[in-house]
Amino acid sequence: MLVNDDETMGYRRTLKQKPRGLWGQLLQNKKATFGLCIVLAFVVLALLSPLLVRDPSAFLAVPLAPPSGEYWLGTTGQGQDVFAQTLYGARTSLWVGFSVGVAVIVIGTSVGLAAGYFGGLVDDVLTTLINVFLIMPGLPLAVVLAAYLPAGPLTLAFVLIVTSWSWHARVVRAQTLSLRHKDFVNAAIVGGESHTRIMFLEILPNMTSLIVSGFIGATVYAIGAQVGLEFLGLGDVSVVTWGTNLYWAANNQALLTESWWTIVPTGLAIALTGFALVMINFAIDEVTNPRLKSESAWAEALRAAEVAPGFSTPVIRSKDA
Amino acid sequence: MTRARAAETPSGEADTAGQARASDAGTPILEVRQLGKYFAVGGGLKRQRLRALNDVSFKLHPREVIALVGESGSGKSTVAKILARLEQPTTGHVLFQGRDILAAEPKRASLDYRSKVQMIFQDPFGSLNPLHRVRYHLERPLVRHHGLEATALEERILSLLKAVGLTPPGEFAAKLPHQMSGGQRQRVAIARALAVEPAVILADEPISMLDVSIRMGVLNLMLKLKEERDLAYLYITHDIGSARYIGDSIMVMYAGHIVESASSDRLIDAAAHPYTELLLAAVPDPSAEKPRALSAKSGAPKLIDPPPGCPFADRCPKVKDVCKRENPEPVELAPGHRVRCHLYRD
Amino acid sequence: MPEPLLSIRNLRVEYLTPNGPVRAVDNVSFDVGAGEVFGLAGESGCGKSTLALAALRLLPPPALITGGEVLFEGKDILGMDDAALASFRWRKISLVFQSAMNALNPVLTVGAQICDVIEKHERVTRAQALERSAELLRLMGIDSTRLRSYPHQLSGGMRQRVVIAIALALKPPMMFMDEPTTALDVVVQREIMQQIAELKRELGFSILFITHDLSLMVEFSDRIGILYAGKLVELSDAKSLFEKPRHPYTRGLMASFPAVRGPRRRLDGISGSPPDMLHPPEGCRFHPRCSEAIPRCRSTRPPLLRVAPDAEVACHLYPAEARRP
Repeated sequence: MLVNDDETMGYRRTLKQKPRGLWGQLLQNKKATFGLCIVLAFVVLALLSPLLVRDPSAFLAVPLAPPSGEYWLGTTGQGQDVFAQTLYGARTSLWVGFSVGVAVIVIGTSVGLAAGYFGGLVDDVLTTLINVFLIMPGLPLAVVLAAYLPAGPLTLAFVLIVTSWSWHARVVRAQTLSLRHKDFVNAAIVGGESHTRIMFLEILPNMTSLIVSGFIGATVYAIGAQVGLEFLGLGDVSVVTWGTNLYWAANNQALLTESWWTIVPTGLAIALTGFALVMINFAIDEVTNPRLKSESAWAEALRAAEVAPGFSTPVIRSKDA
Repeated sequence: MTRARAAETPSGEADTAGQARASDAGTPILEVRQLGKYFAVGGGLKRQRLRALNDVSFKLHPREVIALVGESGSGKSTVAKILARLEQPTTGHVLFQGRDILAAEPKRASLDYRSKVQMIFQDPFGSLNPLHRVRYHLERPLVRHHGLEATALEERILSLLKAVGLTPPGEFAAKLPHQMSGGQRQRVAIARALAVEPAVILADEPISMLDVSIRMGVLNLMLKLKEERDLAYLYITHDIGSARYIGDSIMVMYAGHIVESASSDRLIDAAAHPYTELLLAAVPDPSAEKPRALSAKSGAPKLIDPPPGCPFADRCPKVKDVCKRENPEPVELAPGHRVRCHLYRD
Repeated sequence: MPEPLLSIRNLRVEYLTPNGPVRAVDNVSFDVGAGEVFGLAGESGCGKSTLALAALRLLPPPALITGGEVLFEGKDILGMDDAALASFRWRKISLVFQSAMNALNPVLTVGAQICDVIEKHERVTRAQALERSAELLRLMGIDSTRLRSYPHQLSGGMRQRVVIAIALALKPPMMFMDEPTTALDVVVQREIMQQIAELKRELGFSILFITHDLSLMVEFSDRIGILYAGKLVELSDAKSLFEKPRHPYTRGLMASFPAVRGPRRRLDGISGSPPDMLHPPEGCRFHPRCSEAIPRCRSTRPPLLRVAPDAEVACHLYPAEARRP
């Protein structure tokens, strides 16, 4: 039973086995840099917004005024600065989004690791827990919880964490199960390592891309779901967030009055953030799966020799044959 | 016959000495008594039992190499996993230096046990964590068991790498697993096992996944280390050739039972159990004039809810009625040569 | 001398990896005659599987055939288009893959898979295809009721027999077998090899037998070629290769199989590691590991020379012999 005896796959496999720093490879990837730049831009703008714009809650001007020199994105139905609101909205929305992302992966990873590593009774109990939370319908539960708990971003964060941690836990558990039986884990056990050390220092590092991906996925979900819940009026409508912006825009008959500027900027900001995060996720996918790269040199050679790729191995006789 | 026995063995000593060592009446370092392992398989209404091991007993003495030979499903790896405390047996006892280890530390193996009994695994690509450098792999047991730090730690790491033939050691210490060949990785695995200064190393098919030309180097290294460091090996393999090369004695396993055990030469020259004869006939032998015929029927043993009697009964060319009713107990044919077969029970 | 069935001349195959081109098969030439078993031996990365798949034009990207000829019954395989190859494969040369696990579709019954092959190449009714499939299974010693079994219901040995049966479906004049028994236990391995030998006597096909297990190969092959780092280093009939291996690599390989019988001897295998195919050594590719290397080995590549009526070696230690009458 020789391993790697299949030469035709051997070269691709050696590529796959090169675990160069995830970050190093990501920064070289165009999709990743693009996404990271946009996300970073939003974060910086959100952080600096008190210094950059006016008070978004102040009723300053003529309501529903279209964009002008003074108010770049016009005013809302209550005379507030839309530009200020869009930038300020990023603060809470991003804060809640990333917090939920972090919490989801901390809880989900710990539960998933423990379930996959220990097996037996521990796994049975934790899997039941995961499954219970998994089948709970997210949105209705979120609505119910938000209705009973004091309104505000903290409640929303709590609600979103509760309804989304189990999916990541399930994924981590599956990956842990497959890594658990690898010989290097057995070797660590035979070497006398503690359970915690094995889980967090032997198994977890082999799942970094999964975790980063999970974090981004959870964050995107959180931002979107947060907006959705606030749009329904379940957030604290006195706090300026992207979701409440849209809530007020709807309440103030934005569509009826054709005041697009009260909806579009916030909508675009949400879409752009989500898009950037998803781009980073795609990049992680590409980086951990170098299959696509390995065939580009080959495709180049065929093009240069004007040979159409077919099903069978092509024959391109080299000049020094 | 005697001349062949006195010939040079791989470790450079007369084989007679190895034979004497093997049947040394000293305290065995590891003793296994009537080990049994059953797995529950099937779900719901179909609850079945898979008999992986049954009544496995043997003794391993210091500086002895026992080769455990069997095909896949014979239970040989399960024996190693139980001795490495990666699995619990269903029945039976494991005595380490005379102490019943499963009674003394039932839940978790003590650090002391772990420092005495180590294991090397079959897959050189899987037994090293792909994200950690060689230095990390060797550091961990040294820190955990000996509390070494700084210069002492570094010195030990370099000396271990030299001992397994990975020179220059400084260069190898900095490598990641994917930067090394299969043979080099397996040497790192051996170094890791040596780091705790064990008394026993369980080697689970350590060379079967290596390139052919590299295998002998690793086996020779293991033999050299055994002499230098007073180690005992339980060498698990499906290949009788390497079993004979490294083993003072060979135990043949079939369907979870040890069907025959004897010193290497005796097993090959005077095999008693029909399954051993089958294995010996099946091994490729380019020097043979004609390929040997296989006398036994083709098939595999039934491990799930097995029928009573000898597990080899349905394939055995010399099967008798009693074989289908009773599972034979081991019988001693000669000092050190035991068989589990009704042909010899009179 | 009768025409060889398969004629490979100066074949070169490269992989265009992102780290650079890798010459996996470098100028390899040999013939296989009708009814002959030709063994191709070597370790991982030597190019033996690549060569077999290249001859059938089955290598996936980034593989490229960059030179040489592959002639079967006089026809040029490297010049054929996809359509011609589709009707050529399996009918003329079939392939037994290494691991039956990968070759058999887990969601189709064994019968369906054999019938598929037959129906694809010949105009037969389903009933006729099933009849043929049953006959093929019986030929391999499997009861025809197994036509309705799924691969996971069969043991490893039976699965490999099914793979061989599929390869025999169109009774081709030649079969490539890539490590057909490596993943199997030694007893099953012998049973299957004996079965293959019997079928070969009955049906008369040739075999290109690829494996790393030299002892198995010497038992079953008529002639053997030894590959190292993509190059053929020795070519000889099986018996003389075993009794008188010439190339230092071959000798090293012979010293890598501990004997079950006979006197106990210390064996050393070969020192060093297989070469990095991205940057293979200059001169003779084996010289860094060779205990008999001379200065010439480091600079010049030894050509494959005939040193006896049925033996060729690529080694600087041997040209003198070549000139002997």
